[in-house]
Amino acid sequence: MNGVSEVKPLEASDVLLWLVSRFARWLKMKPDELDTSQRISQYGLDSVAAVSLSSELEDELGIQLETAVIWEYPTLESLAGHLAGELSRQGITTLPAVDA
Amino acid sequence: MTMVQKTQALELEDYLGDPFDSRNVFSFRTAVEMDELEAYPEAACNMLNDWGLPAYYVPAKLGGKFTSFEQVLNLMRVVARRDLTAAIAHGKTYLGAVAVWMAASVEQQSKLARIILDRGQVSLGLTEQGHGSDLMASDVEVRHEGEKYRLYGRKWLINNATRSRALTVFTRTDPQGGPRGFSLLLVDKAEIDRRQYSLVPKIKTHGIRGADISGIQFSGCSISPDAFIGKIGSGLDITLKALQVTRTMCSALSLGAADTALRITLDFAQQRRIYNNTVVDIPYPRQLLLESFLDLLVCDCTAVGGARALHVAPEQMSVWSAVVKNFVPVTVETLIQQLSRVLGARFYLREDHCAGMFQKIVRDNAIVSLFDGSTAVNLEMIALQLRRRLRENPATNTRETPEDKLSTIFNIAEPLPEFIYEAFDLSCPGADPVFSTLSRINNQLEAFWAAAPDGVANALKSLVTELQGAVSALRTEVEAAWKSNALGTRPSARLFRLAQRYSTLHAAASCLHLWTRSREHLDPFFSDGIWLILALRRLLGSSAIVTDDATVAKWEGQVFDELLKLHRDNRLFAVTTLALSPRELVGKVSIQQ
Repeated sequence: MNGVSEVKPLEASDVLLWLVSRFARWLKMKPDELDTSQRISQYGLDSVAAVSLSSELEDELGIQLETAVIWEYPTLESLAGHLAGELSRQGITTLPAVDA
Repeated sequence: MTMVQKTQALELEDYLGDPFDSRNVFSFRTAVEMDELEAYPEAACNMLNDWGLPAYYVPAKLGGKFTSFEQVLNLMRVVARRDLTAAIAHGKTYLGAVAVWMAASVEQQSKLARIILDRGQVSLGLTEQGHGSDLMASDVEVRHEGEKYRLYGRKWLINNATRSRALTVFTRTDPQGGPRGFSLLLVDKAEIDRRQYSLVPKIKTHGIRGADISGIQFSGCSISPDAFIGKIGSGLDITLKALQVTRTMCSALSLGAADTALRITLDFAQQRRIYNNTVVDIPYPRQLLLESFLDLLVCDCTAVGGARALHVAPEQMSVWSAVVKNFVPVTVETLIQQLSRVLGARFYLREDHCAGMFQKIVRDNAIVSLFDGSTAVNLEMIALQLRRRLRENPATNTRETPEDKLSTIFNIAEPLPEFIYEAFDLSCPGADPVFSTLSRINNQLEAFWAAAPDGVANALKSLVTELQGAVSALRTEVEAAWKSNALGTRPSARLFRLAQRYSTLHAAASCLHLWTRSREHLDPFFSDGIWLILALRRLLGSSAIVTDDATVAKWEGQVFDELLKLHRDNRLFAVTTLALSPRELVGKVSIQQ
């Protein structure tokens, strides 16, 4: 993984950019087709199937998340905000490369 | 199982009496007769109430006698071997109550405990006519009208909807739905206006014909704000977690059904002479009986492991419960089909051999794979987490179940920790511990390898290697299938098929772990491991050639002899076997028209 190594905490906007690329790949869509203020479920993300997404996010980001994270933060914007906080709290300052 | 649990199961077994004796309430003849009449097993359920079974559905801190799910598994198996209708009709109270034990207020819990201890029934109002397993499409809803909450809509195919005193009801609380759009309610029929709900009549079913499978229609039913279980909007989480418990426990029903199916088929096969031979001495039916016995032992290990894991590794149960619920009922369905070939025409009769009990079991058992999440629902739950469950290196995840947890799960002599309802999760933290610890089995068995005959030790060692190889091959296949499946969407058909394979391998690993860790506490036949070799060989497929044909034939003979012995001695067909209520004419067909 080519981490963007910076010492300062990650901004929600960095996380959002990363999330858009990941969700575009997972949902097999183009990044510009995703509206970050819309509920992710609008794009066919099944609520129960979303359970598996928290595991993927945990594995990719190296942090621990509540399983229902995508239920609690149903838009990419709100999820990015939450993840930025979690990453900072758990001492993570880098994201996996967007094209990883 | 510990002595206390064994004693309770024995007590209930003794109390219910010989099911082959038509004079008993819990006799096969009565069960069939009630089924023919499509009549609710009232007398049978009253007997269970008189014995005090409802107390085992209630946590001890609320005045009940529940201590472990292993205990409940053994109690329910004893009931289920006599009559699935009664076992389901009675046991469904636990399904209705589990969400309350898991997430309700102390007041709600105390109230429900009193209802159950007073013999009141509780049911779970989950499914609706138009939506089946699709919970998020549920239409039954609570509307906040002025000062009041009102409940609208119809729940359908609900066990005991009519007879129950209370129901937990899955309802929509946000018109938009979504994962935070549903809530659970505890509805006490004694507290709602009788004019605001109506009962939907019992529907005719293929099996468990006497069961009260009906519905309830709420028509603006006024609900107290105290009726919500947990937070408003938490209904989906609580329900998915509660089902992890009941899915695991459903296996007791299949285990009981399989025991009786095998027992009454053996009754026939040992008596029946055809082509100058007794059926048990003819190679093909003999093989079918042997395989059924092995499959039942595998189901037993898988179910016992699951029931104990509920206490020790609740965080694993989103997948583990789905494996048990998928593997055990479906394997028992196949087992019963196999046995029907041994019985021949008698499997189809609604009277004569054993009062026609076999055909009732065929029909009754078919529902077990359907309720509390169908086989498809369970396979999906497994498929969604397959990749992580098969991960090679569990050590990277700090929440990994440690080795000592697995020891407690599979060492049946070890007391279980107190059950913690709050510890359940919607997904598992990491790799499946039953696979990630396989590499240590050889070391754990050092003493056994030294003492066991060469043939047995070598065969088992090669099967452990074979199982590890099968897990590894599955991992490769899952990786490939994962990449072509859009994440967060429904898993592909290929992932479903791999989830099925995962279940089979999990069952194989469960047998191996249970035997490895409990061997010293088992009867000599079960501790010597020959049954395990044959069972694993069967699970892993015929490619698992472990020794020469003559040795396999010898081992099969030994296992078959044990089957006949357990039948003759009137003991449960289980790894932790149990003495059953005495039969006056053991080995004979004591019920005939």
